[in-house]
Formats: sequence, C-alpha cells, structure tokens
Amino acid sequence: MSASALRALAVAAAALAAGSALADTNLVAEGRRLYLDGQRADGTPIEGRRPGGPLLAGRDLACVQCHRPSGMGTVEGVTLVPPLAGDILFTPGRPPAGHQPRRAPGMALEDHAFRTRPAYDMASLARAMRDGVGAGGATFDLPMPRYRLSDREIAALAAYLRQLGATPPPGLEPGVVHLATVVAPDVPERQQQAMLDVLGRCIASHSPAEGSGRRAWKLQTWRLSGPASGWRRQLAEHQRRTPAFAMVGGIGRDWAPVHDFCEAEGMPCLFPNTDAPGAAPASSIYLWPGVALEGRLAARHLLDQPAPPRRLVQVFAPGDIGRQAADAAFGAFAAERKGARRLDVAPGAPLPALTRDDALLLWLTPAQLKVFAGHPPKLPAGIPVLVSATIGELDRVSDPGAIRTIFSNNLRVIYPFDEPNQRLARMVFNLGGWMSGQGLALARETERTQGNTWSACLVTARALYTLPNPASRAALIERVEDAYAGAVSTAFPRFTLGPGQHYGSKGGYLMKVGTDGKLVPDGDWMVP
Amino acid sequence: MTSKPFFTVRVTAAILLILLAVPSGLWAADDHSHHMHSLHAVSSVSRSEASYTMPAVSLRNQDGVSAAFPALVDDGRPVLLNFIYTSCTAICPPMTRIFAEVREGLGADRARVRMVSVSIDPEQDTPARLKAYARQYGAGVGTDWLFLTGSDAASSAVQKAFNAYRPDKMGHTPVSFLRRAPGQPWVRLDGMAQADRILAELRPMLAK
Repeated sequence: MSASALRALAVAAAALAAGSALADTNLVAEGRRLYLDGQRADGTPIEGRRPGGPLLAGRDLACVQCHRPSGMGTVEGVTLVPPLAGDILFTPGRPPAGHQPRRAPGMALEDHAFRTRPAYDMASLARAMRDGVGAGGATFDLPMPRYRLSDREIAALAAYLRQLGATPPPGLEPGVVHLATVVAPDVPERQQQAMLDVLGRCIASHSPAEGSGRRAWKLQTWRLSGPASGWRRQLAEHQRRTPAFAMVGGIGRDWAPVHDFCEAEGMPCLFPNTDAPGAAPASSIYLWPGVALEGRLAARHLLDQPAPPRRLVQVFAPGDIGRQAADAAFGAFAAERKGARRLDVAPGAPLPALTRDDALLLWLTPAQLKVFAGHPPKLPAGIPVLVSATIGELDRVSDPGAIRTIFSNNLRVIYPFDEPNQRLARMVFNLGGWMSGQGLALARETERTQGNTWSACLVTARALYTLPNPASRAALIERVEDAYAGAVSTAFPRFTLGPGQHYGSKGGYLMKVGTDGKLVPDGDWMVP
Repeated sequence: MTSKPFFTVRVTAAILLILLAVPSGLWAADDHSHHMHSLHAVSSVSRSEASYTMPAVSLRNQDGVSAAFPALVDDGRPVLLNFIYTSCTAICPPMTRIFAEVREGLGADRARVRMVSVSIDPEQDTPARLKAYARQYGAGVGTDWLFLTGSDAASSAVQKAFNAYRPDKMGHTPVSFLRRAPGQPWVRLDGMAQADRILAELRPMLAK
C-alpha cells in the first residue's frame, strides 16, 4: 500500500473514531437528560405509569427522583431503591460479603432481588424499563414506573449509567480518603484553634484504622492568607498539589471565595463555621443559611407588625457580611410591602432623622455596636430596632441587657440559635465528656464553634462509614443529607437535612431583653 | 502491519452502522398501557382498625392559616390522611400521586371528603413550600386537601397519635388513614395502598 493511501486511511480512521466518540458522547448526553430531567433528546417529556396509576410525564418520572444524582439509590423506611451506577447493572447482583439470609422459625428474609439477579443486557434492561420485570424475573415494586422508551433511549440510559461514578474522584485512594479543612485569616485565632482542636481529634478518633480493610481518613489543613480575592487561587493550588475528596468543617467570615471554589470543583464542603454561606449550594452543605436568614427573620417580624414600616434603615460596614443580611432583609421585605424603601448607612456616618415609618436594623460587630451606642440617635417612640445576634456576638455576652438601655423597649435581637441555657446544656451533655477526655474544654467564647465542628465531624463520619462503591462525591453528599441526626451538638434547636436540603437549621427567634437583662424569646421559633 | 489499521477502520465503521441502525421511537402506546394495567403491584397492604386521640396542637395549612388539628380533622366529613414531606424522594411522590388519583376518582364527591397530608419535615416544609407541592399534584387554591405544617413538636405529636412516628424521617413507611366520622375508628392501610384500594374503603363511608 502506498504512503499516500496509508495516510488517507489514517485520516479516515481518525474521522471514524472521532465520529464514534461523538456518538458515544451524544448517547451519554441523551441518557443524562432522561435520567436527570425526564426529557427525551427532542425535549419532550418521557412518559410512563405506575401499575394501576395514571399516565405520568416528565420530571416526576426522572430516574434521579429515586435513584439520586449518584445513581446509588436510597432506602426510605422499608422501601429500597437499588443502585445503578457504573457497571452495577451489567454485572450479576451479589449479596454483601459475609452476608447470610436472615431466618427465624417460620420465616426467612431473603435478599432483595437486585442482589441475586443476573447481569442486565440491553434486552433485559428494556424489559425492566418498559414492563417492570427485573433481569432475574422479579416484578418491581410499585414506586418504579413502567416507561415508554425507545431502544435508542434504553441504550442512552445504559451509556449514561455506565459512566456514572466510573471515574475515581480526586482524593480517594484504595486505602485512604483525603479530607481537607480550611482556615481563613479573617476570624480570631482562638476560634481557628477551637475548630482545629475538635476536628483533628474527632477525625482521628473516628477514622477506620489503617489496614482495617476500610479507607482511613487523612485530614489536611488548608490555611488561606492575604486578601480574600486571592483565596480561590490558593484553594485551587492546594487541591492540585494534595487533592482532597471533601472538605469538612473549616472556619472563615467571608466565605464567598471558598463557596465558589467548592461549587466549581463539585467538592462536598461540609458544615464550615461561617456566618455567610453562599446561596443555592449544590455541593456545599451548611449548618445554616447565615446572616441572610437573619435578614429574612427581620423582614418577617416587621411585616407581621400591625403597621409595618415603609423604610428599612440599615447600618452595616460595606465590606463585611452585614451587607448579605441587609440585602436579604430588604429583598424579603419589599417582596410583600409595596413601595418599600431602603437606606443604607455606614457605621460612624450620621443617621438621618428617623420617622414612625422607619425601622432601624443594626448589622454591627461588637465594637461597632459600642461606638454606635456611644452616640445614641434620637428615635421616635415605638419604632422597631433590630440587632443581629450573630454579627453583634450577642449570643456570647453575659449581659445583653446593657444594649437595651442604649436603645428602646422596641429592641429585638435576631437570634437564630437555641435559647442560651438549653444550648449550653445540650453542648455539655453531648460534647463535654468527649472533650474533657481529649484534654479540651468548652468555653463560652468558643462553644458555638466547638459544638458545630463536633457535629460536622459526626455527620461526615456517619456518611463516610456508609459510602457505597463506586464512591463518588455525589454519593457522599446524599449520605450526608441522610445522616443529619448525627448533628447533636450544634448551636441550633433543630437541625434537619433531606434530599437537596443544604442548610441544617432554617429558622430563629426574635428575642427581647427580659427584666433581669437576659434574652428571652418573644414568640415562637420562626421559619421565614 | 498494514492490514491492522485497515481492520480497525472496518470494525469502527461497523459499530457506527449498527448504532445508527437502532430504531428509535417505536412504541405502541395503546398496547403498552393496556399491558401495564394488567400488572399487579407487589407491595402488599395490611388493613387494621384503631382509635386514635387527636392531639390539641395547632398546625398551619398551605395558605399559612393556623387551626387546631382536631378541628381540621373533625369537620364531620370522612377523612383521608397521610404523612409526607416535600423533599422526600422514593415514597412520598407516589403516595401523593395516589391521593391525587383518589381525588380524581371521587369526581363530584370530592368536596365530601376531607383530605389531609401532614408534613413530617415541618422545619423545611413552610406553607409556601407546601403550596408549591400541592399545586404539583393538582391541589390548587380552595381545595379540600389540606397540607399541614407547624412546629416540630406539633408534627411529632400528630405522628405519635397515629402510631406513625419515626425519629428519623428517612425511616418513614407508606401508610394511609381513613375515618368515616368523628368518634368512629380509623382504618389504617399500611403499605403503598393504591387509589382503587383507598376508594374501595372510602366509597362506603360516603354512602348515606
């Protein structure tokens, strides 16, 4: 064969190979759309029905609703949704190693059919999807819809599932899970150390031992430095040099650069100690929505007044997290109050004369509050004054009554935590013993950081213990969503997660200052 | 050596042709839906009767209106009740869909039945979330289908009263409750009771 003919052949081969890769990519993309959105390649909704039920269409029927983004399924009560990712469907089902069917006199609990079925091929997969009959001949349970799908669509789903979780995630080695925690320079050293002490010891004492047959957990600390604008680059550099599977705990005030990094990287970033989490987290899971929640609580409180104000006068430092609170407060307020207006004032700048139509919201640090109180403004009687417990650290001071004397009896403290005494009792009960065993001590200044970090570690530990194979970041996030009951020592009275729920605590109290100077709830826990 | 790339090209081409030859969209819709109706659900349903004492807690409906739970349930009509949460994946969507089918199946008798779905994740399920969820299942404004939320304690109290409480919401199992009138026992259907099963219990309750 001549050289030119060979060259022509090589070109043709490359073109065909590219064509086939393209066909594969298309097939996977079509499968992804079916799986995640319940949509066909042409954008029309897929159709199907549950036995005896009506014809359903679209997102309701998308596989992801039950089999989850990871494709690893779920368990709800006694309903088991089998895993599908990677080569699971295309290899014979297997009972877990060392597993014996459970028996008692007169009864036996057999393995679920997905553990004993033969491997699927295209024909049996088509039968499963269309007729609800598994590869082993078992009829599927009622929640599994019977679909109207073409052969091409079955092939697309198979192609999508095969690649799901097939690429090992970063930071995961056969014997080790690499975890990272982030310390930002914009929080006091004492808080940083409180986080590191609890997290380091908790991870070490809960990790499977090396050589135990399960992956051991190795924690690395990523310390950020310089201005926040450089943090994202520093994080990427850490991840490049020593890749982590997930981030646990961590601490920082301006969390936006870390949030953006986590979301872009698809890294599970679990329960950092920050009062300013990012919005709409997909791969981050936060303890609470942060000061933005305080803003929404403030708005709810003001809207529920007999005569709600017309203007929100908000004092906050432009470069600090108070801006998030102020924006959230006004956003929620203006959504229900027609013609609402806002006036933003920097701490130290003179306040304009306020009227009965105004409410005053103070998103100020302890130092700024002190300065503000040093030159108290003249306020019309009865106008609402709201102060952030988080930014003002009013959950840490022993005598919040001092702030009441400065303002008015209409002062309310936005308090997104458990009542002080209950919170402390729970911390001591659930965490005190372990801490003293570790040579650590709960302290008023740091108990929120310590308790939240302990909970972050325990929930993550539960999730890691049950991490399935193939392990993926999506699967870890799903396990964390199910493991929230491990959060026994947060600063919050209620802490729940669920599929797609990425903020643990969701509400707060409005507190007034009692006659003894202590904060007492003014009304019920609110979820705005 | 020269024959090997040639062979590869042919194999690749063959795979590509097979792939393109896969027919798409061939699906006899009528045949299939007929076929599906003949299938039987494998989930079994167990029926029992019990008396439950309604706790005097206050709950909010999807419009944000608060009321005492016993007053909501004891309005004189037959009641159909279950426990759900809006971010639930595997169980609640079919359960809620089945309740929607029951509503459809009731036709003109729809207004003669009080339907109640109590959230077991009340912290997440605000009235606004429940309203969006209700709309998804065709329960719009002014329906007789209440979606209830409230404090954590109130929701737990109701779950406990119906012997349906699980400390972890992920542990909940499908169960439907029916009652003809206040003072009468509740019919409890454990398992994924389908619409026709529920309607079979409900219709006699509507008979004069």
